[in-house]
Amino acid sequence: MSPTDIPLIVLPLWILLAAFVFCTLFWKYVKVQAGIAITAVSLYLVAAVTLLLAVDQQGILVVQVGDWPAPFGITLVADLFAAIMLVISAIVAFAVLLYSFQDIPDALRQKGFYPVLLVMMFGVSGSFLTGDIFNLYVWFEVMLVASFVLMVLGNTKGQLEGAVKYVIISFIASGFLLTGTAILYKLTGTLNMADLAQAIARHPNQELITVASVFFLVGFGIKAALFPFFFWLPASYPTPPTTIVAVMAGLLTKVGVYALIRYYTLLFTYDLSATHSVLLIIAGFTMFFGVLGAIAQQDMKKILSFHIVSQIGYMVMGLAFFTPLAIAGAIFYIVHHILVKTNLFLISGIVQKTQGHNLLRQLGGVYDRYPFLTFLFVLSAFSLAGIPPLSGFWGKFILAKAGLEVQQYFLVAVSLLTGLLTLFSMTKIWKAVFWSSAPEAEQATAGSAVPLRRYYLLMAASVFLALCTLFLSLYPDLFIDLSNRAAEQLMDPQQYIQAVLPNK
Amino acid sequence: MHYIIVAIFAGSLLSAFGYRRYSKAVFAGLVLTLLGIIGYLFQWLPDILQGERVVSTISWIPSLGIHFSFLLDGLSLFFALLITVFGLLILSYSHRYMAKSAERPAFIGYLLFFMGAMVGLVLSANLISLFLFWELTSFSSFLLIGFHHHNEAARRAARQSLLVTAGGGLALMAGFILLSIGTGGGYDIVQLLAQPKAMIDSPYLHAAILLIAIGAFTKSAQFPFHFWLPNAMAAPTPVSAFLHSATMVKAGVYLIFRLHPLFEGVLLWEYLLGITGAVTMTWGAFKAFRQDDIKRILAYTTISALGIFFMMTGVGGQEAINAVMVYVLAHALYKGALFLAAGNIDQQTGTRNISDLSDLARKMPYTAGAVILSTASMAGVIPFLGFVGKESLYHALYHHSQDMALLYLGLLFLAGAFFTAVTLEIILHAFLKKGTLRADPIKEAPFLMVLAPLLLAVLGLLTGLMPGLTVEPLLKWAAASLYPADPPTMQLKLWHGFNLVLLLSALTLVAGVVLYLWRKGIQRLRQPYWLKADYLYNQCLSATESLARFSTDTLQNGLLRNYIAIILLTFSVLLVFPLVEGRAAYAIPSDFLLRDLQIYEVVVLIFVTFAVIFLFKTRSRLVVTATFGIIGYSIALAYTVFSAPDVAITQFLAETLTLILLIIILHRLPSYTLKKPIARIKYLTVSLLFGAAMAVTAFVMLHQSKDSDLERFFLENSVSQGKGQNAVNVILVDFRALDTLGEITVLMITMIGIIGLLTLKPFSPKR
Repeated sequence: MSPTDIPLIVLPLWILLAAFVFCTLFWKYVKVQAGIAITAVSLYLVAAVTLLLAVDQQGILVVQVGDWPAPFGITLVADLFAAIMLVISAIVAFAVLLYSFQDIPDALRQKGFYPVLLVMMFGVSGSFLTGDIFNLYVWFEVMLVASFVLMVLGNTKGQLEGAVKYVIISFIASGFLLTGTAILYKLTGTLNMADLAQAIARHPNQELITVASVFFLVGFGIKAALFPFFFWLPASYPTPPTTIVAVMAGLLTKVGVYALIRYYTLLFTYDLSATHSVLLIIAGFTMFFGVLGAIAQQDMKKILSFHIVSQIGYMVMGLAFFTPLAIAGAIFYIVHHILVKTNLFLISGIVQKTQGHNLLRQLGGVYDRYPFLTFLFVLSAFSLAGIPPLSGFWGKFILAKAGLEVQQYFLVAVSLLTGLLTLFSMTKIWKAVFWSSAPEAEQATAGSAVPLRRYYLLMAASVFLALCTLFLSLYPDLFIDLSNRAAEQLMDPQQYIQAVLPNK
Repeated sequence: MHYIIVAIFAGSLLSAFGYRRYSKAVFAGLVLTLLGIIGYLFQWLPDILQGERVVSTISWIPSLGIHFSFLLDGLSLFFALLITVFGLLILSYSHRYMAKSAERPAFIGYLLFFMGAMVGLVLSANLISLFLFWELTSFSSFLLIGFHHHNEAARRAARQSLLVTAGGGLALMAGFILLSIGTGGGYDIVQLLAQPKAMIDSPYLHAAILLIAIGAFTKSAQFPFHFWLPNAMAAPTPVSAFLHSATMVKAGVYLIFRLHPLFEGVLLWEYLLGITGAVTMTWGAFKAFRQDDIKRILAYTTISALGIFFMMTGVGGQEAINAVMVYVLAHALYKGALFLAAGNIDQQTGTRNISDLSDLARKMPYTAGAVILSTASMAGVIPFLGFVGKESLYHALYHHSQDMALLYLGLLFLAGAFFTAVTLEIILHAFLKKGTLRADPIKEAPFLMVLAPLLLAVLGLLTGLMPGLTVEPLLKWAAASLYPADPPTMQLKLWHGFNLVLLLSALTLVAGVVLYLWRKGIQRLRQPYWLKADYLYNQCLSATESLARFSTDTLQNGLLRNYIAIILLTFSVLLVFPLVEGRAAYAIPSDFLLRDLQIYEVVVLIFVTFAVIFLFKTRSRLVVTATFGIIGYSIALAYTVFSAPDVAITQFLAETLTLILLIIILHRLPSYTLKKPIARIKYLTVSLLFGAAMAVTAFVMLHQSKDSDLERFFLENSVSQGKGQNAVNVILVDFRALDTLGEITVLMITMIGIIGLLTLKPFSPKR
């Protein structure tokens, strides 16, 4: 590690934190805050990309915070997986911030929308970069509290009800995570992930480690919205403003998945039949019941919320197959899902803006009136459903291939059936919102249909994400290759351990 | 070769955006482009007729072995020409057919998009790029079938075809993956075909066959997946003519042809295709005779013809394949012409029902000419290509050694008879019968719309008259592509002399006349509604929706306590297994409870116990929150007892903040609903189970001891390196300062949130 690398890992965190502090200094001046936020997020994006390039060239990068040697201080680690996640979350943050300029009412901005959003991204980035299990817990808290505040910013009754469910279930998750962390510390005497990986491998009573793993499975499972822990997600996502939902739907659950992948590739790998077979079962149920939930809904945002659950199942399925290809598939799927899902929420928000609500039964005529919006929706929706050559297909394809290679026929069948059901529920939105005639009340005002030009920033955000999706769809090789290398790094924990603890 | 596909897709985009303003110029440009492509394909003809193969590859996703790779041999050239020549005719027809529609640009755009996908499909030499184009055809046909999207029936039909074909597509994808795993190679079709025996020995053989067959069956509307095709007749007529006669539905047939060398001789392959095809053929022909709507008649005869293709491929053998190739061409010619003529009739008269039509022979003489010529080909009347095709089919089946061949022959005879009967019905009723339509001012369709069907019908006659000179060379090599090891054997003649097969052909016509005369009896037969595939499809959909609603209402019932109970229950169950498994690792000492018990600890314990009991009694949210406070503060007290005052202060602070936050929110929520006693027992059980699991875990963990390097390091270095006497403080502000930074941020954000909650008035979202 040369001295020039040090700021590279810390930089994304530092940018967000500094921007947060400046935003609070300019509390009364919302426009200044907006300027700070967009500058910071752009810099954050640049920093993340730079970090990814550096990790790609130099291997895993490590910073010992405060120069206390590992495992005594806190270590920040950037491997390919973490760097990829950082880049994708920066992309989403950028798009969502752009969108927020025209979406978030002034009243909310004056209550600290920008600083809280920045802190949430701070928490997300910290979770990706930390190499310490207690520190991860802290980042999760930062993320949780910030997201909770964002959620209740509107202060409407529906929002509060959803947010209370979210925060209480999340607190339960935090409790599990903290207890699990304490147990692991008690059993091994260390908190550093790399050190822990070695200590677990040496530990005489693996069953006790499995006990600890249950705490993390449930804790992260709640965060990631796995079956049967996903209830908070459909309950709380449809209510807050679109911007906030989009960034949460896109990112937060995936931080849970990230943590699961991290723990289940680095720490809990000593007895796959005890840990990963549970994941396998959970993945199957998550996929299936998630998509069933989507089919049962009549509200566009609710359908989209349940899809998240179902697709988290795909990612965990990749983890449970536990081959390099499967993990690569999971990583690819996460990135694809974040892009597409965020964009779908953004688009549903635009539809909501033009029509006033999101109920399928009372929507219609978008296809005739807004062909370009329709195109954006088609791109994302059919990508989510896995129609080639859109990005979702590649994720699905890699996971199916990986599953068939390890002869998990049943789960692959479930995942393909889930794909079909996803398509089914997407065509439901398509039929009702885009193809069907506009409802009669609307038709009276059809002449004065709101021109999309007025929402240029909303559209710009959506187009930006759509372009990212298109790139991922048409040139998947670049990213598949990257995912493959990230997966190989994950499947070889020695690289991680060597980077953090070079002397051991 | 890839430029062909790029050109068609570019044309699709161009027409979607430019057709409105420059319709003539764009149309001319498209026609020229297609002519160029056809010319390009013809330029390869001499090479292909020498038995050559042309392969070109563009690297795309090397890490997965997926490339845009294209193969031109007899088979793919035949299909590519079929698609582009038909595409050209359909394009010119649509240009006129949609002339009055404001949505013509989109229509032409979709049509070309579909064509590009279809050409890509038949030229692909990589299984996955083939699959990509396969799904694109499903998707574009979804857009085309639902083109009249204000019509509910069209929307429904579009969704149905998408779900059926995409569902089959998923099976196909799995089949392709198994194929590549089974042969141990990539997805390169040329390589796969070069070693046809590699798959035979694989354990995945039968699974792959089944999955690939399901893909082909759904796409090519084979029984029991055939139902989407008649419903897809909601599409504009040019779409039906293009997608549902000449091209898309033949994608499955093409796939079966393409992979036939890999699977020939496998019993599952032979019987699956043969029997499915035979059933579809018979059923389709029978159903066709029972329809009134001309387009639905054509749809069912198409299903039947597709059945013939599958059946013959299942029978196998070079002669059968030769015969089926001829019939593919014959079918495309007559069915394309018929669909287009049906479009003319629909547009000029406003109806497609035979019972409402009459006297069309006088009113629309050119359309009538096209219909008569092409239905004659469909019935297999000499000297049309349909006759040549039917003769070859009979001949191949009659001389085949497979045990099912004669049964197939009998069914084919029956289907042929039905075709004849349908032909008679269309011509006699819609065209020759005198009727009320006579008085209406019905005119012949415009030139471009007559030209296309008439051209196809006349081609059917000419090629039938001189099959050896016109179509034999290409068809020969198309069939030979399936048997790369053997020389091509096809020899086409119109007249084979008087023999048994000719007699059979003649008898088919006679039987058709008999069936026609008996039509009232046949059309009276009732099919129970619960046996209709379409009905079963609907049942499937609504069953899925009911299951979805049921499972979601059960799981996601809106009650937070229920969610928590499920989470805790799952957690406890998951925790019990490793605890039981690992019980050897720990022992529970008997006197653990009373050892070193201090009086403060007892006090705190009593506080907590009473608070918990009180919790169960109370019904007010506010009191519950307050009681939680008591528990929280008691725990903070416990921290002071265990000499960690700073942690205790933090706990006090956190507890206070939480309380304030909760109380602010709580009074905005609906009042507490009373639980039934049974529910209380349920939640009590879950709580006890969870509590017990946690207690055991905590206890077990307390008795695990491990010397920590961390503790030693912190104690040794806090004074010398951290410059602090209190090790905990040094940990918080130095060793693990990042944690503290995070926690401070949490506090700050909580404060912002509380301010927001206190001051913001509820707003109503603006439109």
